[in-house]
Amino acid sequence: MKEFVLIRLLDKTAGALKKNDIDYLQLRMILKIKLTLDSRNVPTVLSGTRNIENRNIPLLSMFMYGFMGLMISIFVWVPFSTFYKMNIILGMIIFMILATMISDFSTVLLDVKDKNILMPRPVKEKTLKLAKTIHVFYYLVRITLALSGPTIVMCYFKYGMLFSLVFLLEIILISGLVMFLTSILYFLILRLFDGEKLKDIINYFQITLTVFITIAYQFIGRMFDVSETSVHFVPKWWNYLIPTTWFAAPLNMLAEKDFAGFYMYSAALAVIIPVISFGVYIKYIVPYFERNLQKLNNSSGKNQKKERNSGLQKLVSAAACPDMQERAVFKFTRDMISSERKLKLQLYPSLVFAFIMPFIFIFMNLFKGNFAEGLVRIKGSNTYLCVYIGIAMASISVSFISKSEKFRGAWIYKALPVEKPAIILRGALKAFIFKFNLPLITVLSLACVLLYGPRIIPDIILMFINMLLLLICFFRIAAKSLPFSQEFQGMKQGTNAALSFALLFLSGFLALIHFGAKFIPFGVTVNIAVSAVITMIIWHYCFKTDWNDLEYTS
Amino acid sequence: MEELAISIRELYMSYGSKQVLKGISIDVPKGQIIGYIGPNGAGKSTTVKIFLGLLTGYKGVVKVMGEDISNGSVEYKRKIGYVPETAEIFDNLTAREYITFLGQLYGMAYEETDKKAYKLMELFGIEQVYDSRITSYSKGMKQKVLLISSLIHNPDILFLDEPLSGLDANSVMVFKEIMSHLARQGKTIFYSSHIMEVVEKISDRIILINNGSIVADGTFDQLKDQSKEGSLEDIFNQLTGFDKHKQLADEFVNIIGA
Repeated sequence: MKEFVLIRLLDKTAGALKKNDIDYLQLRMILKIKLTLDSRNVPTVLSGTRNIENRNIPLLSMFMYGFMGLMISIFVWVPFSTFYKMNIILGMIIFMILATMISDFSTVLLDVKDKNILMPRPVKEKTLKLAKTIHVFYYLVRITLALSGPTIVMCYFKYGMLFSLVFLLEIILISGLVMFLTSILYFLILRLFDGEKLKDIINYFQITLTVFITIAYQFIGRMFDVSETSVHFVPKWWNYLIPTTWFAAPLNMLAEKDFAGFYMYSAALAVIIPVISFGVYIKYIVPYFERNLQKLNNSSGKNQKKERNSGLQKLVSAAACPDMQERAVFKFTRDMISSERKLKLQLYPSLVFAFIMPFIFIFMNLFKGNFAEGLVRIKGSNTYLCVYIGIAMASISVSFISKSEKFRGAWIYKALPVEKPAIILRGALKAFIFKFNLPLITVLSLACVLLYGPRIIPDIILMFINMLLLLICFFRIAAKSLPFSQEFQGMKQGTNAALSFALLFLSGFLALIHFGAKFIPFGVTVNIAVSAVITMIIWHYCFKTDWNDLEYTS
Repeated sequence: MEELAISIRELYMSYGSKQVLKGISIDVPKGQIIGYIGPNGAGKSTTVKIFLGLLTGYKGVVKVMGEDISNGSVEYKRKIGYVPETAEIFDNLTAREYITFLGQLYGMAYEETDKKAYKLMELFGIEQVYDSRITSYSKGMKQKVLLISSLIHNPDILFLDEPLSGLDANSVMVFKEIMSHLARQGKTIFYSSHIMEVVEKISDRIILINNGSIVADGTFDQLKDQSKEGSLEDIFNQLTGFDKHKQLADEFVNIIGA
């Protein structure tokens, strides 16, 4: 095990800690183990023998945050008023820290494993708590520094030393505030729900968050086209409610020498609120968690899932899969997709993007000029072909079908008397289409018909068929393994990215043909027929695999 | 009077409105092997978890080596070794890292723990995976690491919950020997299991709990006299009021065949 910087830093405070009834050696050891575990949180199942010290996952993610921080810092040079600019920068930083804390915090905060292993040992609760706090704090500091560091440097060059020092100070206050906000959120969740339900809620929250971050990225860029650079800022009462204004106010005072009352009061809030909330956090929330964490282990078994195979779903599965075994796989896949959290975390955001991305492109030129005119312009255009972007994205996510957290459970396929893997693959793909693609394309189509009028119904039929075509192609190439049989981490990123790119290209190609067909009489109809025939042919051949062709880990 | 290793007085515990332990009192002198048995959900694990401070909020007095465990000190845990039934392990660590970590928490020196751990791994025949991550271990290997990590600090009292699960027949024999050796040294072993044959053979005394209360407490022979049954399994069935096994088995086979 290597020595961590944090541990070396901590050694300097050993004396003070010992005085406070903390077993320093134990604390040091627990932290060291935690950091080691963090650096290995990608379990490489079989390569565990040697070279485990070499991969540094936290460092890699730090680079990611650093890169984002660099992007944020570019805003320092945008020629906006200081107050406005700082609001944006701080907003982004706060949001990013909050987002990472919420998803990372859950693993640290809700870790009961920790307690089960360490409590039976002669470790004082106080030591354990301190170790946990330092661990969380360490992460918070690292992420915050990576995200805000570049901006602090940029501020130094643009506004000078004092400005960047104040900025740094504010970042510290912000960390405290973020800590409070995250814990309040978990506090509420813990209060209202228990056990499995809690994990579900966190899962949904992570999904929403992922979606939100990505969309926010899309919009931050757009906002700058819309916003006017010379807007004179007139403070309104509700500005006091926006945290970024508190923190932007002192910076503005420094840069613009504007000491109006609004800025003074805001600056005061920037200090008072984080300090108070951090106090509340330490005094009330931390003890509450300690008491209620046990809830996580006691799944009361009350909220059992009802059997989901309702009459309608029975009909659907019977119609989709005439074969008995295939129908079983169909139902199994549907159940797995809707119950496995990690899978949902990957699938649902991409589903939402697949829905939203086309509209971001469609509405892109709506921002320019008159809104009503823009709508009319859209109505007469062929921009609905943007739906192909959504179709492509939805098709790419089919590769997730082979992933599972419980991938080891895949031995059942081999133990079952299933003659050809085709039955399993077909059942799984059909279930995926019904659970995922069909709802997506239905909603997309409805929205498009509302926007463009019924004239595009033939186009929608064509897009639907092309979607199936893309899906099958990608499934044939990408999913070389049985459903739920691969580990999430084991994903071969490189090849997958290349394949996804190829799929996007193919999707663009199909869109182009579709576009061309619109200029020929009956072009779309012919295109529908051709696409349908190709789809059927590929469908017929795409499941012809032998057991031995499939990748199988166990 | 012999010194008590463990003493429980009127122990009550409930999860919400569900009473799990309904007034249990047990005294265990040093050097005994206690077979602590009962059906699923009877309260066995709960009792053990209370001993280790994993559960709080119980009513009653629990003493380990004469020391009340609710007095806020964790020192008594140095004398305890614990093998949980469903064990959680930091399995991204190697056995060396994991065992030395725990050893150090018990206050042992790194080198000492390391040397001991390696030798014990060697005895169990798994020294070749000492530096591999525990995730890659088989079930038996994991169990061996668990046993080593809970005995490494030479505890006086052992709480073992299904300690033999996943071990092969030879290792089971070795470990049973280890237990009786330890008992002869004056160590106390609190042994929970569902495998009645083993409990019957190794225990000096058997405590059977059902629905959170003690329904039998004594040596195997005493229990046999009391209940007029031949094996511990039969005694277990009788005392837990379970006599339908034949009928259930019949039904089970009928349903499969239907």
